[in-house]
Amino acid sequence: MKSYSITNDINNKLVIFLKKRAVTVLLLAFIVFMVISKPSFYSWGNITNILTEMSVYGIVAFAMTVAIIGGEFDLSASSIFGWATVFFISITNTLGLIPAFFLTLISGILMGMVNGFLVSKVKLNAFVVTLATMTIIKGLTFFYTGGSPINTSNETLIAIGAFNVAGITLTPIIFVIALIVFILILAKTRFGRNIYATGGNYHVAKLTGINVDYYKFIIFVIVGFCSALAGILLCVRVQAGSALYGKDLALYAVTATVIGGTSLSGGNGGVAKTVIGLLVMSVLFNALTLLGVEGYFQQLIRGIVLIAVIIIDTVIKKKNK
Amino acid sequence: MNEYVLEMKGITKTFPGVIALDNVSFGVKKGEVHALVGENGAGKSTLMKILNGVIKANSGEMYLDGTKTNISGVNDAQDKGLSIIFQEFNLINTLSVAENIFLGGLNRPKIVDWRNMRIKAQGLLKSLGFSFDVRRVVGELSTAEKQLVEIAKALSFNSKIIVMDEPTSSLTKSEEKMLFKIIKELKAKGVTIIYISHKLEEIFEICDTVTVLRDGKVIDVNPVSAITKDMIIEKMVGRTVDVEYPKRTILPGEKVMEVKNLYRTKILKNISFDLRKGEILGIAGLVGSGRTELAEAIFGAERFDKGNIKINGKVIKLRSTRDGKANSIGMVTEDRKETGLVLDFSVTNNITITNLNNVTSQRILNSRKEKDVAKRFIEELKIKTPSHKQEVVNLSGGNQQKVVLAKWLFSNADILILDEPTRGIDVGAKYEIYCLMNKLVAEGKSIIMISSELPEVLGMSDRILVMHEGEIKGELLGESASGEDVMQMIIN
Ligand SMILES: Nc1ncnc2c1ncn2[C@@H]1O[C@H](COP(=O)(O)OP(=O)(O)OP(=O)(O)O)[C@@H](O)[C@H]1O
Ligand SMILES: [Mg+2]
Repeated sequence: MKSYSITNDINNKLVIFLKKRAVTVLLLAFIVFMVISKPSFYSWGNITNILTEMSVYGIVAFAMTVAIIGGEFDLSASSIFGWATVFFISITNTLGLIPAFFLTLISGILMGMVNGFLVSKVKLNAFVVTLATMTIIKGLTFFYTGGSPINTSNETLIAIGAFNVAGITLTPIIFVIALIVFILILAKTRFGRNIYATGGNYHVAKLTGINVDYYKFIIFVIVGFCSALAGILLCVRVQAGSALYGKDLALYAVTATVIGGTSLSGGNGGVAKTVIGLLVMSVLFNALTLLGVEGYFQQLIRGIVLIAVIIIDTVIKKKNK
Repeated sequence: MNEYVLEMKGITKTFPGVIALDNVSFGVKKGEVHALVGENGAGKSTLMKILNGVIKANSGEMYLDGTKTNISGVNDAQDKGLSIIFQEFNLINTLSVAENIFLGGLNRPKIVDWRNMRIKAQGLLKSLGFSFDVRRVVGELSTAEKQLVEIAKALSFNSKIIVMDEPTSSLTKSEEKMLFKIIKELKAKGVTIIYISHKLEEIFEICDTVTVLRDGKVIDVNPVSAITKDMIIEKMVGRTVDVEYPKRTILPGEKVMEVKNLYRTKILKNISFDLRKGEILGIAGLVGSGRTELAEAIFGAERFDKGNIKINGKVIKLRSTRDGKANSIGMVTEDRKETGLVLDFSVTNNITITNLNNVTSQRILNSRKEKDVAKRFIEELKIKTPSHKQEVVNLSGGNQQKVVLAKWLFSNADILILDEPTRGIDVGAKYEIYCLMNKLVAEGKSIIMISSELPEVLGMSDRILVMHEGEIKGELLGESASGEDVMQMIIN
């Protein structure tokens, strides 16, 4: 009787472990496969390349993870990002680097505040609100630039862009700092816990005396801020801004979050998980590029991966009930 | 011919860290009302979920009418004439009452005849002695009304065997009577009923046989006529327990809260009362009398149109539950699943959420402190869980209820509103909770208690307000009042 239940327990634990870590296991298997079949994948240059690639969008993915944990999501991240690139470059060219840095962040925060206000106070649906602000901000950005990309030859910016330690530039460093900050906030502060509670069950959180509207509001401010910051980091690398930058960002951020294992239903997950999601996305697409798969085909795969992961997420949820 | 309509043999079910059912054998005769009792977490709901195909056993066999049967899922169970009234409601909040009753199961029609469906739904509810508009959305209903919808839904299948998992836990005596009448009618028609309840008196009123479960094992099966309530309790708990209401020696002190002319259109009619320090104030009334609405207004969860509330002599602003909490008011809500617990959260996180400041050091959450708090309450309230990290969704109903209580005890509020605090809690644990309430008032806190269980209100309160249709009909002293006094006030 006893031995039976113990083996059963171990079985259960293994199943739970595999379910929880399925994505990580697949990722590792895939990396091993790539290392064996494509030695260029394993070069330091390519590794730093992957890291830099995922860092810019990764910061937004963290913010998106916070939003999803809080039971919301934000489509306008894409447009805020694009806006931030052109606004930052243009202010750098007129007022200088430091004003550009602060004004861009402030503009991102303000855009997030508009989203947050409409969702938390006016009680509009986040999908509708951020779809609308996404379009409006994109329109604003096009209007601001007249549609063409803008460049800068600000020397400090170029210098910052060139700065690196063993091939690691500023962006991955800020990515890691953002990761640590978000992990601490979510796991270790009252603020973070209340976001989980708000997303876990809005009604319960409200009846617990948590200021749910404030948390719903602040979620969008965080996304706005991080989107603007990520936009600036892209400018540091490419010294250019364009309304077209970041058009796939929101979808990318949601995909990375969900692949990582944060459930779309809210109230659970975390940014450390999102790192796994980001790695899957970047490694997969880096590999596809190395293997010579065409860009449009990669998009197709990206879409399929997203749907597959969401299906798995839903099925596991149901099974566990 | 086998006399058993249902037999479950050697059923074992484990969850990580828990043996919920350990080689259980359970038999039910045709046309009987068979009680299944046991402490919180004994395995009652788990056994019934296996019977109804909601979850699968690790091992064991099942026989229906003497033939070995496999139940592959909920629909299969319904096909084979089994239905269940779940302990935790299984209704879709955004759909209407009629839709919930008819669109859930196998009898779901291909083309919906709305008119017919509504008439049938209304008929079912009427047979339960209730008539509310079946077009209403379930999310708007009170807990008791939801319970009635859940009952109507199970009845709509015309099943051979109906499981009722604590159907009366949020009903008052009068709705309970209606349900019993229906149970008797069903029985006369040859329907078999498995009845789970922590209100043991009910078992003597309607059941024929009683099976006692303890820690996942069958302890005893007896005809009801051959057993007493005390014997059942002893078998459930494994020792004798107090079932009286514990006495208090301290008398209430000065006024801490004054409610004046609280008015909300159609819901609350000029409610006025005081609450004293160290007092337990009971509120009695039928389902729909406005008790919960009154409690919500005092806590800041619902608005009121006129009137005011004073705490320690000062009028307070109550725009939200945050204001309620800021004024040291706490409220155990009546529906643990919808308003009490974040089901994905662990036991620990559900408890500490009301007072996170208490478990932080330098603004950083201290998981050691959180763990200590959780362990303290797990011990004090005897919450049955494999670990403080267990997600509450995996606890049994009664143990979830204890977590809701723990959560508000930890908030350290001076005024605690308890809406159905012992809903779904077993007899032994109830006594512990009463003792805890006494301890709280001895510490100078005040309690407002709402309960559908009249004996509990009578036994625990210093004073009792009797509410009916949004009005306070009168006030009684807990010591001297009887159930008749309360009913008399309601009628007048
Ligand atoms: N899904 C689950 N995952 C893990 N443990 C579970 C799960 N469901 C039930 N359990 C455990 O199995 C045991 C029996 O639970 P069950 O719900 O059957 O109790 P119960 O007798 O219905 O109690 P109550 O009177 O409180 O409703 C409990 O210890 C519970 O924690
Ligand atoms: Mg149960």
